[in-house]
Amino acid sequence: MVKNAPDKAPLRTPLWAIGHLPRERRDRPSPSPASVQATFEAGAGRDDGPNSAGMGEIGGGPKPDTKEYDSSAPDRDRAWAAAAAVPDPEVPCVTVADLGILRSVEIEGEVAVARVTPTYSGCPATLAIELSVEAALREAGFEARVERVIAPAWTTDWITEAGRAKLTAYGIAPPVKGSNSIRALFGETVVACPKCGSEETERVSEFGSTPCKAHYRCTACGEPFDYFKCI
Amino acid sequence: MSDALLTFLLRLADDHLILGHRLSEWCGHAPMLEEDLAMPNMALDLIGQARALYQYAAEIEGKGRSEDDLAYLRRERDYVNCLMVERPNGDFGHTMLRQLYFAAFMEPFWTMASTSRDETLAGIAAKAVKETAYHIRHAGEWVVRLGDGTEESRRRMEAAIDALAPYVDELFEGDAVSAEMTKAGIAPEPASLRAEFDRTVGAIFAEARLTFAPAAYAQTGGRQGRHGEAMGFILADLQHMQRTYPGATW
Repeated sequence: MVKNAPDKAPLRTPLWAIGHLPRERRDRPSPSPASVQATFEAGAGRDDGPNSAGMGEIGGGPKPDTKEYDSSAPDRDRAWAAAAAVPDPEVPCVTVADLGILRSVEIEGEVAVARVTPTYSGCPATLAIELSVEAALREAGFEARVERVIAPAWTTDWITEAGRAKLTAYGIAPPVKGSNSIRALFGETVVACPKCGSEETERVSEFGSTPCKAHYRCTACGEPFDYFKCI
Repeated sequence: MSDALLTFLLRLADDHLILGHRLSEWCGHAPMLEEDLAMPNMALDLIGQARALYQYAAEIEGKGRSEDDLAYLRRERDYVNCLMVERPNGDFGHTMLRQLYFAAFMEPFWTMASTSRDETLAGIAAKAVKETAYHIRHAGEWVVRLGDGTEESRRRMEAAIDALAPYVDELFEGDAVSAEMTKAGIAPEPASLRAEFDRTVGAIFAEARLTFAPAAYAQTGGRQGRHGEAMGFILADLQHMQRTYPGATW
């Protein structure tokens, strides 16, 4: 769906001010067979409560004009490009497409529907990412909806080659390939230093600055660095 | 069927919420910086898993309650977590042993649940199983380090084993709800996870030169909503804001 640019809904920033969310968005249920779609469309199963009306609506405001639209394939490509360019809020050197967490973007009727997968169950950036993707689609002129997909579960093997190269350049060691199995979690993996490439590295802590990273140190060049954990 | 599924999901979600809350209490109080990061990280995993389960439970219930309503606005007797997760943190070794026990119980559970006939549960499980394996490794390393450490650290680990022993058996309790889940191909019978739990904990205890001593008696009741004194204090902390300002949003 394409709409005319001039009447585009105003975007409000910051997009990941998680505190200022309309209740219905925060309460969005996990996707599950069929029922979620029905819930969203019918607006059923929501309990907005007496105080929720008008409280901090991000991405609210006037709805875009949806009278003119064209659901041809180029639209889908354009929608994909808009969504795919959204950076990860915690690791901004990579996009959601680089990480492999943007599963699909489809044009359904008048709405661009993006499906996104969380990295970790408790990843605090999940909601920010969903809002950013939705905002990017709106900014590109689409009426937009983002759905959370949890099966099949994301693994670090879905990070693209480009994403791995960007992580390394940013100073984060990309996950060791093919090591996302449970057994491999317990084995010793060799993590190369993203600065000097040496494999003489040691783990400082299994838990780093974000849930997806562990903390390492290079004993060759002395550089401390983050390692994107395999999962 | 949906009644049993709801009870089953709430038990699982409550376990994760309450243990996640307990771990979060360490934030700013852990013995070293790395652990101060590790503990909230594990808490995030648990609370993330709890959220997914509450969202699904709310959907199954179909009464318009949200994940927040289920997490924050039930009465103590409505929470159906096992008693182990509500136990006070004790010292660091005690917390690590509790984490090892819970993760060693959940890892085979999630592994089996990842092939559940319930697609939503299978999706949650596929993600959670790897996070849980990570928790076993982390907690297990500390149990080994402290158990096979100094005289003082060993004394504390032995005290933790004794203190937590009465709460182990409850993890493996079954009832009509678990039987219905097993029959429907949704989740494994808790008792069937005991062998794997014993293997995981046994291997770590052997390395730590620790011995598991079963308790003379086992505490039970959490799955029916009968909790220890600690639970009321947890809920006072958890529910304070929502009870004081109903419906408040940030």
